Amino acid sequence: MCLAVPAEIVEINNGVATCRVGEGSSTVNASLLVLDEEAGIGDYVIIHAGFAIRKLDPLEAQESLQILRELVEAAEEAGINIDH
Amino acid sequence: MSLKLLDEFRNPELCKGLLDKLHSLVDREFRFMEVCGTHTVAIFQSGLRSLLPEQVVHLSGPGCPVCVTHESEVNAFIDLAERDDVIVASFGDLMRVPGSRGRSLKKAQADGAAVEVVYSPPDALKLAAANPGKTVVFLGVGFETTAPTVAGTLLMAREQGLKNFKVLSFHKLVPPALVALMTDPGVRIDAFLMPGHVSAIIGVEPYKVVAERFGKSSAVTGFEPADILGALVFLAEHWKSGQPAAANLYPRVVRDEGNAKARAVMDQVFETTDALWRGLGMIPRSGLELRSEFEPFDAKKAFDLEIVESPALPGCRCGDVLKGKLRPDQCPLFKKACTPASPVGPCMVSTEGSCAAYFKYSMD
Ligand code: SF4
Repeated sequence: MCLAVPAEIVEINNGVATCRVGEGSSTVNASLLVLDEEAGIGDYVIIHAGFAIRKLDPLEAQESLQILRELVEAAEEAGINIDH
Repeated sequence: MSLKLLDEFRNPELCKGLLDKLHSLVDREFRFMEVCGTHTVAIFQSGLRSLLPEQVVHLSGPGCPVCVTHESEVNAFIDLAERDDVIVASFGDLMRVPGSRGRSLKKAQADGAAVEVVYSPPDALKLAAANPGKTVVFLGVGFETTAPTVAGTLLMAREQGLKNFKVLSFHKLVPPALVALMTDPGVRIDAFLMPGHVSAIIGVEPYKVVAERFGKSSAVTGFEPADILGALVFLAEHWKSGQPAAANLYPRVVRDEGNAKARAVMDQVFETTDALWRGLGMIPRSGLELRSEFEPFDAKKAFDLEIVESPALPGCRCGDVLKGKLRPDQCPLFKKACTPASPVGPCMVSTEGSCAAYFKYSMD
């Protein structure tokens, strides 16, 4: 029921966005009715049951990655390295 | 922006580092539960499950919408589908879910009932417009992610003046189910992975009760391996230090406060009601029904449906599986009487069900 991957908006018509899923040419339609932020062409959205529910925030993605990397670095510095 | 950035959440080195960290943290049994069918699938599909430290126990909770749809509710779907004046519109994964009489929508369809699979609720509107002589009933199952989409569709129906469109709402709410789980004395869970997309709507606030009242940590996270591993590291750290917390580790998709507009649309159309969950039974104020203002669209009212609690499917232990009390392979019917080709219970039907995931990915 859930599309876990974000889809890219390629067109918007009457509050309905045509979105490209993945690298291919397949598209899905998503209503923007319940989205509480501005979305435009080129934005990535999370789609659920035909509705966009949130725009992907790339800055937050970057920040989360940074936090995860630092976590790993700190662990490595503390000498954690287990064979499994 | 390209999605290349998201590929980094699968970076093998990053994942290995997180896994090492998790290994170093967990020195005794650590039982975590995810409450989202998409997490169930992600954990199995990515192979993560086999890489987790032995003492980390992965439990799939009541997060698969189809799995928690009660037998009695499925009976009501089938009764509706069998009426001559009705076309039932349903999400595909509901089709093979058995009701208490062993029948499913799929079987009803094979026997001539009008059942149409739709990808989204607005598709059901098109069906209603194309079939003015029939009543199209959309089967509303799913959590806080799906309910706003169905509510939005109802608003569209009202605007278009579509009188032959109705919704049978069996929508369910995640937080009351978590509370019901935690108050069950037989349930042992140390921490929760919270659903990514449900949280995109409701935010993080509703999970604080799990920390405050029950002393368990929770983390909202995404579906990539590094998302899941990072969340497990966070949860294990808080479990060890005895400082329960509720975190949002998925801020690229989830804002702490959720999506207020989607909630407003949902609240405009629905109000809370008691609901039956498969395996968990009746949970107070854990479901959504149409407000009286939307009565003309309410299939329960239009067809005078009474949902009588029917007995559980004989032999199926889905309820215990959904509560993390039993592993799917501990169910006596698993792989024997119950397989994806011929499922006994809903946990084997839905691709998001934990019995189906166990069946597909278990190596023995
Ligand atoms: S294996 Fe089949 S019968 Fe057993 S709990 Fe799972 S769905 Fe039910």
